[in-house]
Amino acid sequence: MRHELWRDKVLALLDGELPEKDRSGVEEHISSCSDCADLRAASQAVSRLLKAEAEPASSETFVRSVMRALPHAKAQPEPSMGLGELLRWATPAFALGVSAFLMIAEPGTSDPLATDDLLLTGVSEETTLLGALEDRAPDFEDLIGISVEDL
Amino acid sequence: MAGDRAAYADLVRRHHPRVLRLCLSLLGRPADAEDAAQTAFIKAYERLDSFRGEASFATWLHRIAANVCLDLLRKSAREKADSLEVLEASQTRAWRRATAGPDEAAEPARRRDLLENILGPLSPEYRLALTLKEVQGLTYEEIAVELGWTLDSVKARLRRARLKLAENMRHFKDSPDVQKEKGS
Repeated sequence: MRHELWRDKVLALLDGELPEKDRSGVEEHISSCSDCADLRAASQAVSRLLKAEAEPASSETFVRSVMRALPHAKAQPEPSMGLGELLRWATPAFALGVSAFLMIAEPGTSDPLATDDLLLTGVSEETTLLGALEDRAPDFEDLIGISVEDL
Repeated sequence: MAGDRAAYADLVRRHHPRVLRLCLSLLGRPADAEDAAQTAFIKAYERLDSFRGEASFATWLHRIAANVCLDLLRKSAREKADSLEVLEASQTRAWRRATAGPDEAAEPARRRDLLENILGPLSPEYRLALTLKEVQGLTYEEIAVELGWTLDSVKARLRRARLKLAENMRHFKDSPDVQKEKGS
């Protein structure tokens, strides 16, 4: 087998990726190849140094320093209003607006309230109520067949 | 979750020893490692909304920490100003001690100094791949997921890292300085 192929197997062995069945053959090659022996020795030296570094103990001081350094509550973006949401509020608002406009623009379509006259003319409520009654008199006469004079 | 600081404190409490160890293995100096780990936790908090749960939280967090360390290693590599002679002398000493036996690496500060001299000449990416393999014992696939690299890229970087280490070890072990010490 060419040396490059052996070297690939040695690298796989060092990475822990070599199938178990190939290990003894690779170990045998390493014992007779100084290049591959150096490859393993260098990796093993570094591996030993790296693995000797113990995991630090849990530190509340570290946790506190991270928490102090965290940015405070992030500003939440304003939710954008979708078409459905827009229609949900726009429809009743539009209807309310139209109703208000109709009430102001065409007040004569129904009987005027006595209190409207009071506000507009400044006369006494009693007088206005009597006036309104007189205005309606012909309607009552039509309905019940009795004239105001009869009363 | 973004605003839940108490829950995040629990996450920091649970994961920081492993993140600190990774940073320490990559950067060498405890103060640098602590700064990098803190930066990683702050970045993770700021990006919590982007955590999709495709990988575990630990894997996602380690990727952030690894990238923070990678940036620092690249910056440090650009700023190195030691002369070639000084670098050669320190690497010669480091390889001699590292291959002498376990006792040479017993003291943490000394061990980190050896590692810095031995791994310093590697590119930051090679160093990161090797550290994840050796410290965390990850498979090629796990390293690829943790770093967001392709599988081929992980294999190639590990291969080049190990070959470069072997080349350096041969060079420095056989340097006249060491030969002289051996003879004396």
